[in-house]
This record gives sequence, structure tokens and C-alpha cells, in this order.
Amino acid sequence: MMLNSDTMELDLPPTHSETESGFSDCGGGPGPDGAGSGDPGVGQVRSLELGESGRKDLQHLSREERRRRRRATAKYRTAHATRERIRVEAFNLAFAELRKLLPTLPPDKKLSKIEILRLAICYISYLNHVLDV
Amino acid sequence: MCPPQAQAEVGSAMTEKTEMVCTSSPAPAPPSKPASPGPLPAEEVDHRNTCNPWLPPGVPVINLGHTRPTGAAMPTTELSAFRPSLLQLAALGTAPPTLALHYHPHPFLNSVYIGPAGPFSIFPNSRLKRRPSHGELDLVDGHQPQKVARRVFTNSRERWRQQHVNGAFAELRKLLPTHPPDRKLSKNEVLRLAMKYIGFLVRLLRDQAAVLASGPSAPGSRKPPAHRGVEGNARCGAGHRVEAARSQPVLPGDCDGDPNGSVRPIKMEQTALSPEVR
Repeated sequence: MMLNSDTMELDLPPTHSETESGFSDCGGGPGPDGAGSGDPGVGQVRSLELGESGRKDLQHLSREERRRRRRATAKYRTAHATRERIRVEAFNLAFAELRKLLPTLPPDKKLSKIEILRLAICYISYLNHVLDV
Repeated sequence: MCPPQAQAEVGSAMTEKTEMVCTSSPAPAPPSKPASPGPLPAEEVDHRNTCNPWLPPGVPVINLGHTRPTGAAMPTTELSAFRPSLLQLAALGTAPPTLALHYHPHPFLNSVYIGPAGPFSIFPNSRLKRRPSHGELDLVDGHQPQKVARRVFTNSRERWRQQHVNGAFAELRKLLPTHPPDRKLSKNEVLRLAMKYIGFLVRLLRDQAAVLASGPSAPGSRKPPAHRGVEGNARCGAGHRVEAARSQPVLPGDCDGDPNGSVRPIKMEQTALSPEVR
């Protein structure tokens, strides 16, 4: 379960963006409601242009259309890139801090991520063992 | 062409026979032998040159007739062979040459044709076989398959590495106490919780060591009741500790509690030990 969620987060950044876009949609709720009268007409015109007359849910189509346009903008892409960079930086910083707590010779020896994780597992197991005794 | 060649060959044969019989002129033998196998025009010219001196050897034949009384039985047989050949030549000028062509030229011609043909046929075959094989090998070894194989290898290795990292995260997650125990944590949260838990365990171990160091200094007579009292307190405190842990799923609260008063921290540590023992 957790692994799947982690892999999803890492492998599919769009899902993260989707959730955020969902929040933004909620935030913008009252706005569209006010302009509801005009949107259906615009949606119909767009559907005719796209040639997707098969779809019946106009509201859903309009939402998807808005989402696509919002994602396509350079501003959104820049914001997404910045957000991803911040996330990766925090992730690497956490690894660096955890590394400082692990005992090694020499103390400042450089370890890979997998090595840091395995050493942390051994160290925690050792501390638990000492305290239990 | 045929008649002069036949005459040349016949001349060479005659010269060889005369040399064997005489055995007095070994020097002329080597030049005649190399000339005989050569079919090239230069060699043909040499044959013609030998034909010219052949006429003079006709006279030595008569001389051989003179040497009959001195020759042995063998020479006599050879001389008899010469006689019938001479008679045939005198009787029929055309028939003997044709027979000579049929007999003498066959082995020489065959050897001449086979000799040079052998190496020529062998070498080109080997060359042709080797060259296309090299070309084919080069084509088969094309760079594209190597690139594809390298790409697949790289992708497999990266996938393997990611799986191992995720596996290590899962194992680390199992060692971290949370409420509920199977709560989902992101990778960043797992790392930060591990840092806090390690810090907590290290402080707990340090404080426990300090308590043990101060313990031996107490009088021996009071040791048993002190331990009993401590155990009792620990048991009572254990319940509170458990409740505190449940109320606070995050360890930072526990860490914050440690730096409090000297007496309370000791009790807190003792209470912390009991749940782990359980």
C-alpha cells in the first residue's frame, strides 16, 4: 500500500498536480458558479469544434477543458517545476540530516541513499536491542 | 604451332637420351631441363634455339654408331631402339610425329596446366571466403543491437536499484512506532520520523547509562528496596507512558519531555523502558 503510494508520487508527478488542480478548482468554486450561465454555451461551441458530440456531461467536459488549458500555460509549468525542485531538495536534505545521526568511520564518510537506509535500520535495531536488555 | 612444339619436345627427348648414353657432357643437361617444362613464348624461343643445335647432334648419333663395339649390352639395346625410330622417320615422315605428340605432350601438358592452376584456384578461393565472412560478421555485429542491449541493461539496473531503495524504506517504516501502526507515511516523513526516533533512543540510552553510573554509588543495603520501588514506579508510569504515546503519535513530544526536570526525566525514562520490555 505505502510502496504503491510512494511509487505513484515519484513515478507520476501529474497525480500530485492533479490533486493540487483539484484544490484550485474547489477554491475557484464560487467564481464559475456566478458565471454558470455563459459557460454552457462556450462548452457547447468547444465540443462542436472538437467534434466530441458523443459526450453528454457538458460540465465534466468543461472542467477537463479548463484543466487542460490551465496545465498548458507556461506559468503552471514553471510553478510545477519549482514545486518539484523544492520537494526533491527537502528529500535530499532529510537524507543528509539522517546521515549525520548514523555512526561511521570516518564520521563524514559519504554514503549512498540505500546505504543510509540500511545503516539506519541496523542502528535502530541495535538501539532497541540494547534498551530491551 | 603444334608441329614445331612436337619437334622441340622430340629434340629435347633425344638430347636427354644422348646425354645419358654419352655421359660425357653433363653441363648441357641443366639448361635443357628447365627449358622443356616452359610453355611460354620465351621458352618456346629457347626450344627453337635448342632445335638449331639439335641438327648438329644428328651427327653425334652417327658417332654413337661408331661407339657400338665399345658400348655394353644396355647401350646396345638403346641403339636398337634408336634404329627402329630412325627407320620409321625415314619411311613415314608424318606418322611418327603425330604419335610422338599423342604420347609425349600429354603428361607435360597436363602437368603444365595443373601446376599453375592449383595455387591460383586455391588462393582466390581462400581470399573470397575470408573477405565476405568478415563483411558478414561486421554487419551482424552492428552497433544498433549493442545500443539496444545497453539500454535494456541500464533500464533493468535502474529498476533494480529503485526496488531496493523502496524495500529499504518499507523495512525502516516497520521499525518506526506510529498510531495506527500501519499508517501510511511518505518517504520524506519516514526519513524525518527516523531521525527523531534515533535521537530519542540515543538520549534514552545516555540517560539510562547515567542512572546506572549513579546507582552503584548508593549503599548496598538499600539497593534491593530501591530497585523494587523503581520497578513499581515504572509499572505505574508505564500506563501513563502508553497513554501519552497513544495521545501523541509523533515522537517530538517525547523528545521535548526529556529535557524537563532532573527527577521527572528519570521517571519518564524508566516508564519508557517498561513498554519496550513488554
